[in-house]
Amino acid sequence: MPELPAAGAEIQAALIPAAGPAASSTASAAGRGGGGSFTALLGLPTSQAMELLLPRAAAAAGAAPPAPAPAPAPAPTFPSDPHLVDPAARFSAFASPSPSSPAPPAGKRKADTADRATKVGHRTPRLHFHSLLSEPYYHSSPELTSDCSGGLLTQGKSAKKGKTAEEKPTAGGDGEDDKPAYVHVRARRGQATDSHSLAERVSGTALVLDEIINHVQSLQRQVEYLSMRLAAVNPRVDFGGLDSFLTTECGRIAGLNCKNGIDLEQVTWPEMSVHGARHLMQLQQQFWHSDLAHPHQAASQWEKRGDGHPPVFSSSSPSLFGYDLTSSGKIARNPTTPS
Amino acid sequence: MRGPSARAFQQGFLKNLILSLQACGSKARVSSSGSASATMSLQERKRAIKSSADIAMATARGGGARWPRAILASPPSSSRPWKASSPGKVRARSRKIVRRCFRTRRSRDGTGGGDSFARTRSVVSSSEIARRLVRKRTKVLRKMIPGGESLDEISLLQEAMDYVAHLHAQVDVLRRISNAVQ
Repeated sequence: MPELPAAGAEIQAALIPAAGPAASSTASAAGRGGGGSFTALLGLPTSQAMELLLPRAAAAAGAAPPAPAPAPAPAPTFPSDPHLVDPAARFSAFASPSPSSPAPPAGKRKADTADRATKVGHRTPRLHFHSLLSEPYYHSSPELTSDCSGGLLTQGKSAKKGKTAEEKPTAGGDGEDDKPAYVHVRARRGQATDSHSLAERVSGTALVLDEIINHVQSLQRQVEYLSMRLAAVNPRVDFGGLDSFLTTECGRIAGLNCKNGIDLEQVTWPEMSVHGARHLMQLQQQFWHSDLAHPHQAASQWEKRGDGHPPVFSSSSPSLFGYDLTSSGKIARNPTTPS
Repeated sequence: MRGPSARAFQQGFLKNLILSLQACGSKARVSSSGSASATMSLQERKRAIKSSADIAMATARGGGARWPRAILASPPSSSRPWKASSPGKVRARSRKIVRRCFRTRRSRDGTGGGDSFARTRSVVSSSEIARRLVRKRTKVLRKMIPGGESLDEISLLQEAMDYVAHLHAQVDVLRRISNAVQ
């Protein structure tokens, strides 16, 4: 599966139509649009997207600087696209196949996302970022667009007459953003003015966003629920006993993590009393380091502890974390300062 | 498949969590004038655990993403009630929007929410509705991802993916802890 070596500016530049008489005007308009342009790729299969993006790479250097200040810096890359795509595949792994999630607050949510996910697309019953980027997502099922009139996108127009959908007034932007939250949707030739396809494309994005939102909410709710459980279990906030218990249990497992100790040292704990923490940290380090036996056995121990847990999570976590969590690097190189 | 990296994160998170919980406990003990047990209500304890879990997750994540910095910058703001946006409610909302847009043509006679309106009318409106939905949801997502207010859409989605993966790990660890302690 080809990857998308797209920088943000490249994606932006991809919106600039190939035939260039209107290039300058739309370039400036596209530049204003900023980062909403990823959705332009949503309607394109990967090979076509690559076609668009790669030749634009040279043009992007020229196109990006004239973009005004609010546009993102020319290199917010998709730095490791296999890493991007993999978690998207994994993302779906627990987005859909979870009809039997026994955790009560999660049950309903998961069922909902599963139901919605099954409605999406005949080919892939899951909402993938990957599938979004790699296939025309919208032509798979008309019932995606509950709000818009159904019309199937016809595929197969090889010549891309790019046309940014700029029906939005430029003043429209959310009040809280620095830049207007455009969604630049790229249309194929002969379909640029097809409102139904446009509407479908944008509403597909809306569905995906809804999925993401639901998922994040369900996870955050689970964190709340579990923390409430933990709070109820310990009648006093006294975790000394917890500490010794867990270190005995997990000390066997974590023998191979010398790095974590070093990381802890470099961590700043801005709001907590560090003195006791540091002493305990040293103790912990000794404990973690002391038991270097049997990483394989340790792994099986870790997995075995997950047996009593809902199969959704324990089964999906190894597959989910096929995507490297700790070294996933810089995912956002924007020099935009947080507000 | 890099399982060990996930496990490494989970273990780092676990260590951080234990440390932070202990720090919270010691602070509570110090502040509650000599009594051995902290007199905190359930809500306070839950909030303390949740915030320490979030901070532990953020510190275990490192500097590879934006959301850890946002969490560490303002931890008290991380506990907020969630908005229940079930898919049914969203659809009802979008239907309301559709109805509002087609004020002139309230064809209740058998049309399913805007599907068979005249093309000239629905040409602009349905896409407008869809864009409105996208904008609304982007706004919601920004609120939910820590540090997402100042990100563009691409980075927002990247952050969301990263955040979701680590939230998953956090949930996993918390679940194991709660099962182990009971």
